[in-house]
Amino acid sequence: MRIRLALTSFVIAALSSSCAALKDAKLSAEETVQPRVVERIATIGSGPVEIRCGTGEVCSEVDVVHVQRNKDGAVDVTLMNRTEEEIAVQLSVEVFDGHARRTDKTGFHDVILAPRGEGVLALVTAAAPNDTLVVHLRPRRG
Amino acid sequence: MSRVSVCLRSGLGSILGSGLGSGLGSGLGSGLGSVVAASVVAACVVVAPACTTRTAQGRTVALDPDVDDDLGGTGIESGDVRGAADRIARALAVELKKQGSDRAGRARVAVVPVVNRTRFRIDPALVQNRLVHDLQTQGRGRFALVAVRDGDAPRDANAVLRTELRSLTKDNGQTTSDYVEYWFSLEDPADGTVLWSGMYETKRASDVDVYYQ
Repeated sequence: MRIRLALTSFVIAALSSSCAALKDAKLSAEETVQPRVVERIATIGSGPVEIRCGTGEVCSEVDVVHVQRNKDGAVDVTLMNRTEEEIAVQLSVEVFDGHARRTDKTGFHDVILAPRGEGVLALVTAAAPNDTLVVHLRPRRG
Repeated sequence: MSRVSVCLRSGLGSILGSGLGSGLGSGLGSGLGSVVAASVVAACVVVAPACTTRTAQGRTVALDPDVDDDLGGTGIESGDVRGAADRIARALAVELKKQGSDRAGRARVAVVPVVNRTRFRIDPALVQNRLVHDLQTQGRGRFALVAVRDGDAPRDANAVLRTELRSLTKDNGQTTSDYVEYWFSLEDPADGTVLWSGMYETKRASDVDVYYQ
């Protein structure tokens, strides 16, 4: 009797759990544990700045302390390592104008942060004073 | 969260979602819950592998050039070539837009071949080409570029962009470290005066010896 019930529920589970549903549930659970993070932070200079992390872990370990914007498009991003380990991250900056059109995107640049240390990445972008800056952070692999 | 618990949650969720859960629940009784859970896990184990998206990543893996390839090594990576060119082109473009002296009122810059004095055998044109490409993209026609393949800079150039790669190596028999310096200088062709200068640096240590070719 038990074996028959187990087999029945196995078949039902297998049939009703379609690939898409299974995968979707698995990814949802993973995103709950390791969410993508979008933060809006205050800046030095004008215009909004968003910080986007593919995985929340990067954002929890590395703080974007501040972003300094100049009128000529120069952007200084100051990062702080909150951990006791050395961290290597990669950072890219995207620029969106008032119509949400992307006007510039830098490549990903390495930033190495000493334990509890700070680092500054200086980039020149095409950002106008009121454009939105999006800072992408990801762990450096390798 | 472990894979099993995720699978269990998704399996149970889909059973309940399909409307069969309530019927099963009342029919099976609470004592059989563990049997059902175990079989859901088993179902997940059977079904889940088939749910992985098949991609074109076989034995040869396509990589983002900005991402490290995990082969090790302490030298010049594709991300360095791209990163250095991107950063320098952006900064230099601002400087060049301020200048302007050819017939169309633009700066005319000769980008001469890169001098590689590091111990790493790389094609120096990788850096030169990427630099010219990024400068051209950033300049949007506000300055003119001449990529010099060999020989001297053309006489009508009013600025010359020189690039030198140098390195400092340390080795203790087990671990090697390399500091690599990329120096970019915009010079006045008449007297060699440095008009602008940019630097990109890396330092890496590794116990894996890698050939660069």
